[in-house]
Amino acid sequence: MKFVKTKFFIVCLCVAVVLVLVPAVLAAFGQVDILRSGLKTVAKPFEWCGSKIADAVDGFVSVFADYDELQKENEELRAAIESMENEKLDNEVLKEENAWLREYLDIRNKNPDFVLLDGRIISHEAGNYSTVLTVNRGTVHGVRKNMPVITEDGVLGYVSEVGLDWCKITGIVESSSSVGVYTDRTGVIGTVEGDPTLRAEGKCLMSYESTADIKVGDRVYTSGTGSIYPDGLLLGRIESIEADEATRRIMAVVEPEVDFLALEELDGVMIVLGYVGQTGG
Amino acid sequence: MYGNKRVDAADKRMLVRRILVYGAAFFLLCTLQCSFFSRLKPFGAVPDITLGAMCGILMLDNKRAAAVCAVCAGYFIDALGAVPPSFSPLFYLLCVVILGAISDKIMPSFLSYAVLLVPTVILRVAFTFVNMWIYMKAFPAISVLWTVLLPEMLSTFVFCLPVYFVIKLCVLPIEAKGHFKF
Repeated sequence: MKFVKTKFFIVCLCVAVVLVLVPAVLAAFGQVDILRSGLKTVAKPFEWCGSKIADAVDGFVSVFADYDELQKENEELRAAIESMENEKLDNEVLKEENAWLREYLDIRNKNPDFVLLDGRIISHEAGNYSTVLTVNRGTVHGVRKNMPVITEDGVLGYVSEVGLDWCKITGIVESSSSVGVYTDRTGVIGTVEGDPTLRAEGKCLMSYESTADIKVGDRVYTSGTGSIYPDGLLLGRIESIEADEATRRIMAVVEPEVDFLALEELDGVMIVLGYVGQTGG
Repeated sequence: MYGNKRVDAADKRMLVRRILVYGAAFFLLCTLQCSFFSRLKPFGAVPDITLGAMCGILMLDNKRAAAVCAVCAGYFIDALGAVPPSFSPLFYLLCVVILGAISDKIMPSFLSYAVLLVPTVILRVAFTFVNMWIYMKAFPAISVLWTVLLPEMLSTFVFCLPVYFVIKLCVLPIEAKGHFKF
């Protein structure tokens, strides 16, 4: 303890007291200790280096030390990504559904007297020989045989078979289909029927009086004759006019508004449950 | 007369060399403590390697050198990593007095240095405890013991061990023991 009594120690003690008090007093008065500030400035680059090295060491060590934690985090992130992807898919489905509902609303606005039922196509034809779609609506939803089915583009076909909660729709391009029609430009009345040859091209034939005035590009609408289709639904356009060599009759090839070659892209349809002026069903 | 002047000149050169060597060593150690170790917190606490360096100087040089280093290092540590009022210069000087009394009675060796580190870490955690009492007034003592004081003891002890060799390297060029005169 002799050291404590030495002049040297007393000087050191005084210096230490000054070094403790001066910054404290300066700080109390809101002043900056220039010496402390200078030391901090000088040490700053070294501190920066130290921190960077510490970060590197920490990162290196944590690879081994936190392996389980990282693995767990990785799994959680994978799950989060999967969830987000599912959400994205859901959003896409909702987007499509939204577009479909807009179309549905458009059809309703165009045909206020129609009682419409929307349906989702749940399956397409099993083979390549017929244009038959299955929709998720049946008798429990009020669907009956021979009800017309339309899309936002135009006439698709009719209900050819109906079950409890499903129904089959036969397209207008099928040879079993026959629709009474008229053209918009001259009001020529005729019948659109499916043709086995044209079906593969997604087209159908229109028969009419040979003297009638029909041109390529004329629009064809349902006339409301017969018991299936209501009046005024757009069916298609005249694509060409040909003479049937066997019967010597003039026939027009009609290209339906509904693209029968791309039915896979069709998600939903509208079944017309009822309309003003309905005669059968 | 001429001989005395030569000795004084040699002493002055040695003093300058000592100040430069210890200054550089403490600058690096303090910076290391305030950046590298404060970031990593090995064992959950920042080790006080500056205190270990002072123990090394006490053992391998003398109390006067240790006292000067204590005051300067305390001030530097406070400047880098504490908000006033902080009492590190006084604490380090107190450590020099207490640990100096112990180091007088043991041979300078690495083992002795390790033994000297035991009271050193006790003093260190006592200082931390006092600081916490000053700044926080009330704190859960048991929790602090497990989460702050014991990790600090362990961390300081472990990371002060290699500091002995750093001080030994510093002492080599300045031919310690007996040349630090004012």
